[in-house]
Amino acid sequence: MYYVRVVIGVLFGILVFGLLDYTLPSQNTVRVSNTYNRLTEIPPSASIFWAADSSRVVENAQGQRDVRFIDAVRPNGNVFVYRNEDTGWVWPPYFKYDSANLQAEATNLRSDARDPIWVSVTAYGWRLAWLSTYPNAIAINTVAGPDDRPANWAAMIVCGVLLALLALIWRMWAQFRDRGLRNFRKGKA
Amino acid sequence: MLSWRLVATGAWGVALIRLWLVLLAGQMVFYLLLRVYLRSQQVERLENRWDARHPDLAGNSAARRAFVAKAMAGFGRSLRARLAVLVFVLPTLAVLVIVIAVNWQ
Repeated sequence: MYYVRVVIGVLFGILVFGLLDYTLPSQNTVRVSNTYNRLTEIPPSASIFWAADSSRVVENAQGQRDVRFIDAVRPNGNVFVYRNEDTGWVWPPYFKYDSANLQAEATNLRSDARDPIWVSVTAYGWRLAWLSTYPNAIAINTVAGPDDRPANWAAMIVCGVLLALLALIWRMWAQFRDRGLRNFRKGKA
Repeated sequence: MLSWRLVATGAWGVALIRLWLVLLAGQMVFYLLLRVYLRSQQVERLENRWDARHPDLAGNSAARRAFVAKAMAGFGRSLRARLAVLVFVLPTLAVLVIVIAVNWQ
């Protein structure tokens, strides 16, 4: 029984870490090399890694979605591909509806290896090549150089708020364990 | 190929209303739990105060219950109880801040 509890606890920890790692914004310093739209087949098995249908996505009659993409190159030469989709009013709660503007910004900051413009792309999600999933770009800001890595304040603030909430819920649970609902039963204590 | 369409399953406005309803339900549950917690904390504090003032009458008694009931009468108007209403304000504020931060150039 003890080992079952340990295994369940470890799996739960991995699940929470994965959820946070997928959902929280991450920042990478890259160079934008190309921006384009591509008709994309989205299999139902991977649809959670793409924008929800309610966020004004455009599809053709064959069910292929028109998705904006941003190609990028990291300072070490490895390439990286972002998608650029509105998230709408659903999970994850980014409430993004300016993907057209973002695409225009990315196109404006396009550069080649000889004369690079380094930018910090904020995005959430995972690049899983075997599932064809791409992180969703949220913001693009120019930075001083390839070694400039701005602090990820948004993720820190969210983590801080989540920790504070967890501490509050833990305190509330401790108080309930300690005293139950005793002052809500009239007269008796 | 030329027949583009906006996917109709679940319109944009419906998603917004659904978000608001889910948020409201969560806030109501959390507010009730927070209220129970704050009241319980205050009662515990009052009981400890009574026990400190009357070492000879310490422990649960009718007199202590009466003291606690009287002191708790105005708890709904206290700053602590009023701040609990922020449960309904802060998440909406957070959504607004995120909307502005994400969509601002």
